[in-house]
Amino acid sequence: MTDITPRINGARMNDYIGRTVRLICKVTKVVGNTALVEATDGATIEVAMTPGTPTIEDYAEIVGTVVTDSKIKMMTCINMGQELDMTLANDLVELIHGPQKEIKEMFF
Amino acid sequence: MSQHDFAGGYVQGSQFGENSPSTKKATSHSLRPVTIKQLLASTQAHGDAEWMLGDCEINHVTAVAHVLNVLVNPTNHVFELGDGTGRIEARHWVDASTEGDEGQGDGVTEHMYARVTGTLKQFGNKKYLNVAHIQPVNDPHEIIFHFFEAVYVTMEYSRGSPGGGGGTGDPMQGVTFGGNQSAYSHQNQGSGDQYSHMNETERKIMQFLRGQDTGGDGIHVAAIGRAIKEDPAVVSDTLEKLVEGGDVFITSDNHFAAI
Repeated sequence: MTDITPRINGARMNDYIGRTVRLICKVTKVVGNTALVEATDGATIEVAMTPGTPTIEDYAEIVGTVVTDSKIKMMTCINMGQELDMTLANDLVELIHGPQKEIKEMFF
Repeated sequence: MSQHDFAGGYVQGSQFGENSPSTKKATSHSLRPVTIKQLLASTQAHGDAEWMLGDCEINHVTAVAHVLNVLVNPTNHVFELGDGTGRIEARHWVDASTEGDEGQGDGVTEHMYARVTGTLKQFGNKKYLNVAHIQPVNDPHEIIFHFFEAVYVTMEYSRGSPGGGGGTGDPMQGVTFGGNQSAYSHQNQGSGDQYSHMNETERKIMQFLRGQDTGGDGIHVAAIGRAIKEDPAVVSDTLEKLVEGGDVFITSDNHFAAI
């Protein structure tokens, strides 16, 4: 269902290949139309940006399609500012994907 | 954090610690943080009936979502919201007096996250949110906070307060929301035995974990086994069951902590 775009981290990329997801990340490097970002669990992900996307700095939420377990094709991105507790964000991702049924029902 | 009068880390006006039907009705006056999926999953018996989410009545809700689209009409603003769990339309009815200093669209534009509060409505077979208030989210931590709060409140409705259901006094004993696990382990268990549905091993594990102040790091499965004097394989199996039931969570490889 395309309306559901789960938040993931590096470890879960593999489970969502071909699907649209949300990746909260820290931008480490931008070269042309490709950005290298760090996901909430520290994994490095390559982001293919659409030309003309305003440069994202620091923290962002990338909404895009997972191409491989380390590459994502951006559809849109939302600026998350200059300060973000990545451990907290990762805890949220892990909670959402955890085994508890009640939580699964809220998000998927 | 943006100025936000409602969900400041606890749910106001609700009765917890009891699961009687009257409790569920009283909650219609409180503000419930939700995911859009939960809104879409809510049902209404007929046009004027209350909205139900599972066993609970919901009335005023709050959500934090990505603003996908904004449509400014003369009498209303229509926002398309998505929070990763679903999409919903939110309508804010305005007239000359509500415009105020917020200007067109309440300061909310596409490509940002917004905090919205309102009530669920249905038009035909399409649900939408009747907006009471909508404003931009300025601190990204509000997004993370909102989801944790929604999970917390939902779990509280289905399982009762953390640290002992029904009878150990004020369930809201200044519990800091959002991550300090040791706050729960200090609550007085008293005579309330919410482990009555668990077997002996589960109970021993829960009591041991509760008594540990690990600061969120958890305890290794072997250490749990030694402490309660049970075979590590049995402990491992029991822990798996407890994790699935949501009473225990895994903090790192083979380390566990109580909820």
